Amino acid sequence: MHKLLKALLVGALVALVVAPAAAQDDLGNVIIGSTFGSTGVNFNPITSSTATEQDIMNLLYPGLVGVNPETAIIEPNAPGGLAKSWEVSEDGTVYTITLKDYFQWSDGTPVTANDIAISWAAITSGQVETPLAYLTSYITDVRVIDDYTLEVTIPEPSCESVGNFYFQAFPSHLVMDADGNVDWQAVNTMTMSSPEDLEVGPYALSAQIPDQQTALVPVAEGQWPAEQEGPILNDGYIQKVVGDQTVQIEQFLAGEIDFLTFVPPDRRADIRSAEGISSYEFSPGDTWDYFAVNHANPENPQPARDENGNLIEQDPHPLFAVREVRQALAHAINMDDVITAAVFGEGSKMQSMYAPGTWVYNDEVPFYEYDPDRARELLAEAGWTDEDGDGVIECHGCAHAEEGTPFSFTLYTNQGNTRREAFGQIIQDQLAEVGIEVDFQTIDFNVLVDMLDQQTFDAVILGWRNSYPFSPDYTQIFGTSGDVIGGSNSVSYVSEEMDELMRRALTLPGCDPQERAEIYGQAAQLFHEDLPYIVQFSTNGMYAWQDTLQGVDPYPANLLWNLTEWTRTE
Amino acid sequence: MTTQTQTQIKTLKVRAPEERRLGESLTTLALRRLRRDKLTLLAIAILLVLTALSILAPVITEQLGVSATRTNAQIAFAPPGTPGHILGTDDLGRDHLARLLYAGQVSLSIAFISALLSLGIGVALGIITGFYGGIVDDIVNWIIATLSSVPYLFLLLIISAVLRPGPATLIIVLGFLGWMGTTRLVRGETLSLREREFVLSARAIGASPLRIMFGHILPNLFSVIVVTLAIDIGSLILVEASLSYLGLGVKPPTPTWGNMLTNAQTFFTKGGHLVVMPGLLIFITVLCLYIIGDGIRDAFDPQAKDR
Amino acid sequence: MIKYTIRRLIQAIPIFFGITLLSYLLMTAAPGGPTSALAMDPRIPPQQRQAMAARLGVNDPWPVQYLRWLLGDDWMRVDTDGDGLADIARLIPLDADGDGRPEPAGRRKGILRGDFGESFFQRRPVITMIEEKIGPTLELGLASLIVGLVIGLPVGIIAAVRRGGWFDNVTRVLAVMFNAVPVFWLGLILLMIFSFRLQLLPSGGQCGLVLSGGCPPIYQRLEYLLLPTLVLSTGAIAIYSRYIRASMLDVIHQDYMRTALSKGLPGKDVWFKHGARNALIPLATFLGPAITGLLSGAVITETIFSWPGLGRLGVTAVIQQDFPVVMAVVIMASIATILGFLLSDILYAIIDPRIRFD
Repeated sequence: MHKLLKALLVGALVALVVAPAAAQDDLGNVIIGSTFGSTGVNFNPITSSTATEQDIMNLLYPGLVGVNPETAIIEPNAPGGLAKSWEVSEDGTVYTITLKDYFQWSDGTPVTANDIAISWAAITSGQVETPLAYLTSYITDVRVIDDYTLEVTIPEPSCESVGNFYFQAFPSHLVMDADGNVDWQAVNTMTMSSPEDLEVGPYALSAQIPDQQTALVPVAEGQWPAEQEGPILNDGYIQKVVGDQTVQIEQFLAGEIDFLTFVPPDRRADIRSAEGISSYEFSPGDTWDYFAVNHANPENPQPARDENGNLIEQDPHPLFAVREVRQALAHAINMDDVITAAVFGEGSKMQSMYAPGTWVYNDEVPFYEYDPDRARELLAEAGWTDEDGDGVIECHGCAHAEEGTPFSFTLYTNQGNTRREAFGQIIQDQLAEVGIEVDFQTIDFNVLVDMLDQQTFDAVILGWRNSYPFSPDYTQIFGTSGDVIGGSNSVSYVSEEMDELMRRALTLPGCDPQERAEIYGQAAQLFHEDLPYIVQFSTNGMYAWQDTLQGVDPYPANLLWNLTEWTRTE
Repeated sequence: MTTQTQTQIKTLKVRAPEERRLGESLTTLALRRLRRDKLTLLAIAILLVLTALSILAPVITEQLGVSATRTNAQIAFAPPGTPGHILGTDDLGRDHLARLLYAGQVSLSIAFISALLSLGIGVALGIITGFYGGIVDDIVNWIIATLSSVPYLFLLLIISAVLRPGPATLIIVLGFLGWMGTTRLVRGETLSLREREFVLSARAIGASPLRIMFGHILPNLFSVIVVTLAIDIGSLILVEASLSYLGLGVKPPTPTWGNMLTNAQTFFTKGGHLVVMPGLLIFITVLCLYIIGDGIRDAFDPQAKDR
Repeated sequence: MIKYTIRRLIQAIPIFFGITLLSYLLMTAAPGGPTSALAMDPRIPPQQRQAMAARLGVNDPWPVQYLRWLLGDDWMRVDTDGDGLADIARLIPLDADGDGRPEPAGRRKGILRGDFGESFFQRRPVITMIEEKIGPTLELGLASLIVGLVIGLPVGIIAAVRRGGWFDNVTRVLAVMFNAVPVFWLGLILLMIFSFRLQLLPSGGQCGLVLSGGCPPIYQRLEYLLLPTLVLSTGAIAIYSRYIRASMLDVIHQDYMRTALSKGLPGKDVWFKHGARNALIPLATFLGPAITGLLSGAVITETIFSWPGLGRLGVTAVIQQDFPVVMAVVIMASIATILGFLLSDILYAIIDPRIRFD
């Protein structure tokens, strides 16, 4: 017994030491990225819905339109986009798009207009479950003219319309018969996740280990139009899965991961001072967080307009419906403190929904100074004072609450986001200074979203991620059309003036950027006065990569645009 | 070789079970043993101090002039020893000591109350099933077999997925999931106690079953109960920490040692003390509870030898 | 013997049903019901959500839903004329979404026939996801069980033989200490030391990155198994060693041990041949609880070390509220535990002749 144990122990140790190193592939010139959670399993561009899968799909199939990485504007003939050129009809609603003719699927079939149109057909077929269904609000028809010409019709002229032309090529010849009938069941169930499945390139799927990695290798010689779309200089790309953020950063610092698309603010100093690592920082980043209050009574949520489109008189929120009260809140919160604590100074204050640095930014819109005295004054003028001396102000002649009601409310944010947790705790603490009692709670994201959809909350901290390319249109979020059950204007901000400004800027004939920026500037000023959201800040962006990578050429909100041209040397 | 064997036989003899002193009850014997068990006594002392500090959190923080909620971004991550902040400050500039004390309140009370709850269920069911047997026993056994066939953390996972518990719900959930072991133990003890003379004689003089169960049998379970309680509290503190790590525990801003530790992980390089302190407190508390549990078990073990 | 095994198997059946009922009831108690996760994407229009809900049958009474989950619905809605639409309905209406057309025939087979439904998020059969993860979890679990026993057994035996000696005391303290450290904390510290500071061991995953193929056979990637096994087995070592120590101490007091020793047999032989062998018997009963312990521990260990196993699948599914997956993971873990308990009992019955198979 004893001897057996000894032998076992020794054997195990020996095996460990002399175990032949696994026959490793040569990863010398393979770029290694990372993602959280799990590997992608569905790379069907019509039905897939996760960001991890989208990152991979961007390297497998071209989209209808591409973005000029330098200007961040959707342009004809941009890399990665099928559209070579387009013409707009006089009324601005019909786009005739000519496609590049040199892309092909890995079985040799050319990529044609049918491969794009099938997404639209899938959405309108009602037989395919697709996250693209929302596009029906922005596009009325997609028609194939010939193999390389498409006609896209939109409901009304819009300066941001091409931003919605988000279709990726799908191998329609696999599911469509000669008469143009499509096997929708096949479209619905294809996952396109095997290395044998068709792709356009620049990469093809290779080794996939569940919840460990997804590997991509360059497509076969001759398939990828390197001349027009740029060469593939590396031997592949591996998306590695990590389980924990601390581990991810340490792996990067140890050189096990080649680049990070987001560095948590608290680790940025480490990255800046680390040797052998380069970084690129940009402000504003692509996310911003806000603190907002419900303008309408959460006991009686109503849409902004009735069935005939007439404004409904909103049942006012007992605390927040008065504009001066919202302004008092804005004065009571020190956003410098928030940015220091929540993102370690790696953020930018925002006066409105537009961060400094965006092309619509209006620097004439003032900030609300941190001024607790002014906040108390405004609250007192609005009928909120502390007369019973308990430290909490209560209603004495306020507009919408019962006499004596204390100014106290519940503030929610989603759990698991340390940035928003810090934001909330500082708000809670600083509002207490002016006599406002905040019950701050973190709850499950789904529950919170449900509450926002139903408009049954008092106050909330959440954030938005800007689209890429950035679109300044906030009709859905601050317009009356978004104030419906399930809409994005959850705070019930009702302003016909805002509606009008958004509409004018979006449909401006000629879409002159300067003129549009001016109108959006007016919207920012209106935001400042009305405060649909109380305070907000954006987190600066930071990319980091190993110095062993060559060819990294980042732009704000766009690091990976030339991934095929990156190389790695040891 | 032979000599070694000889000594061992001798040791065996020397350590033969100690006879109880004449007329001495097991409890007195146990207390006598405990008094000599310095390690257990130390553990009890440390635990009492920690508990007292947590309970007195409001008083202590007031005396020190610090607050667990007062944020100050300017002094975030102050190291321990900073004037005014004995243990430094956290990522929002809140006093770390104050946070730890309040977190202790939450962590300890979650663990203590849910341990009491599961103990209550466990002991009651254990005595009843052990005493009556029959169909009650069968049903309870089935429930125990079912519940203990689902790995504990998985059961907690599914419940967290559904309930998204706050501290109060967490107490109830943990309480209702942890009683099976106690029931088994108590049931076994009751089975053997049931046949003992004092129970038989109580029966003979017509004592009611309730009186026998809770007047005669329960007091004899004292040591089992105390040991279970100590060990349960310890493991529940760890469970709370694990749930926090998985993002399913008590949500901030309510501080617990578990979520403070989880939160601090990301601030590794900025504020090491934020990682060390909650981790150490969890470790010390759980260690003390386990030592106490072990010590009491040994003290009450009728077959154990004096050390 | 066979009779005993069969009887124990039959006893396990009500337990299994208890678990299915328990987990199903818990799931239906989720706020917003089991499809609330589907509603998370605000872009999905309300009509589509309702159609989805009707298709998933969440409007049916819960006993019907439970039956569907357990036994499938291919017998609830049957298509006899082959047009793809059901024309016989049992327990549920023919036209669930009220559009005037009967629903398609039921396709689900139910968990009893191995159909755990489809994942809300990955849109593929849950059972294939489970199949992918069983291997890695088994690998980690077995390795930890072996390490736990290989270290725990000798430690326990020596501690018992040298009762009260320094070895006994040190291992006792160590056992308690290792049990008192939060597992995730231990894992992160080990990672920090061995993977990132010393760069001796890989920092996670089941094998290195590969451009083609999959993970190499296990003996070529033992270094990946080392840290997670270490973390998962610390608790096991602590428990096994204490357990075997107690059991060994019981044996030491048996008459045959004293007799053997007093007959002057060499001490080492007595301890290991007579003592250890008999002390191992109760260990057989330990298999069931050991499996539960390892599976629970795996949840956290797998998350820290990016190990692609059942535990991590469970955690991800809980966070995404992917209920079919959560349920499947729980059921699988329970089956493993039930089998473990069953195996313990049978082993015990084989080893210990005092148990009669009546």
